[in-house]
Amino acid sequence: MPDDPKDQDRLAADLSVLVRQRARIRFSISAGDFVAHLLGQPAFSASADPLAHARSLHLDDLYLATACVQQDEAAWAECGRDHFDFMRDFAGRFLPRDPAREVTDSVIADLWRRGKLARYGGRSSLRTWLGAVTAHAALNAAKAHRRSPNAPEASDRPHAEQRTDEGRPEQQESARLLSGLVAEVIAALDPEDRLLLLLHYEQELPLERMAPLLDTSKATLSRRLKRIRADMRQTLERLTMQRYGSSTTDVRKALDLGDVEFDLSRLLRGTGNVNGSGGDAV
Amino acid sequence: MTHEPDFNELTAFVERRLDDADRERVIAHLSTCRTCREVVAALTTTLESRVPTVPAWSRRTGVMALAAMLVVVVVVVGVMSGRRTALETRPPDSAAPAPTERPATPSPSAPSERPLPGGTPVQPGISPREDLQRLRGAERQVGGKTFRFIAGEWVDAAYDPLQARSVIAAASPSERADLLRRVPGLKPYAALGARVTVVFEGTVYKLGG
Repeated sequence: MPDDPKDQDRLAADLSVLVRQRARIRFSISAGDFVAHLLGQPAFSASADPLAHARSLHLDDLYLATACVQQDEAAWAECGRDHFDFMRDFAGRFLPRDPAREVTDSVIADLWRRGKLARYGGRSSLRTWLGAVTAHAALNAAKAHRRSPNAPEASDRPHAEQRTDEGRPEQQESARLLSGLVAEVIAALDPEDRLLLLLHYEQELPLERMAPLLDTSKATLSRRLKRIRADMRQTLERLTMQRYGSSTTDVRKALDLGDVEFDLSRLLRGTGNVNGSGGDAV
Repeated sequence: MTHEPDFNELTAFVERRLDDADRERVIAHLSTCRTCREVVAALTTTLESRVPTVPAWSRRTGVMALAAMLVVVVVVVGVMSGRRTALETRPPDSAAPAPTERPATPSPSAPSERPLPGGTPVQPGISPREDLQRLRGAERQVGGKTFRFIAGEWVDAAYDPLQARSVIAAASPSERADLLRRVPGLKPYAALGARVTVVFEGTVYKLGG
């Protein structure tokens, strides 16, 4: 942000022009008030080029969200018309209909009553942001339901979610050892390689969905995944030799385990402990 | 311990609006945080990645069905009146903005200054307007895909606006160039013309600029 008051006035004027071009001023908050609100945001004061930063934002969505936060009822009505059905449908992807509706209503109540919509920064579309908030709440509700006493028996859950404490004691121990080794190997990967692996095996995203996210093509991702698995096999081989004095193949045969791909998928989705610095344990 | 995601960063990542430094930081975080990965995965399978350049009303009613109807109506009127009817090429942002979204593309130049869609060289002695009329309803095959020329745009026959797919839009020339650099598989389709909608590897790409 400029220090010189003249530069600050120029910035405010430029922002005002930008806001009028990119946002429909249709609620009680005026363009001038909205510009003042933007200038008060930490992202603006921290930015080396506040005008460029403003150009990168979804200003119309941000204007709508700002009006909602200021309890403008017309803004809230528009937000509801445009987004609440989507949020309910989206929550329905993770939960049955009634719990999905409850979760969405709770999210909406938080957005309105607790002003959580003020957290929307305009870097993405409001629709995507609301989708993220809804997905997070719905996924948490689904997990809480699975942990509750009323959750279905373990045998009713999909195979991938069954814990590794099934089977003979020696198989349980084997699975635990392998799980630990695989987690160690994954933790040592380059972050983007690790993310590629986890998005594909843990989150079950197909490569064509991941390609735009990681800024590359499906073919490149496929080659990269092959390379990562080959590197992991080599590292696993080395670790098992170091720790158990045998090759991975011999260890796998002795421990009665499946191939790496199958274990990777099951380990990462249901039972894996992939921990790195920061974030939460998987 | 539960972690509260930074939804602004995650959604900007999904929409590919982060600079390189921020993107690297988010990737490093996602590689260690399952909570955030779950949110990103949920968004990736469902949502559009960019603000679309086509208004919401046309997505809901189906661009292809509506445009096909318009072509039929215009042809019938033209035949009955005995006059040539100009096909108005709709620029990316000329329609009224959708209720929540405003396209950020600049206003188009006048029709006579715009290059012909499809990169088709102007035939000597034939005006650009006449060439546009000739292209109306035309089909092209590129890379095993069929494209139809509808309302000034080459549209992949596999495109269904009602289907839930990620949509990535490149509205300006620089965005288009950047996208083609990152997804080189799109180049044969981009060569069709100034405005192309193509379904490539499960994602809808809307090329403008």
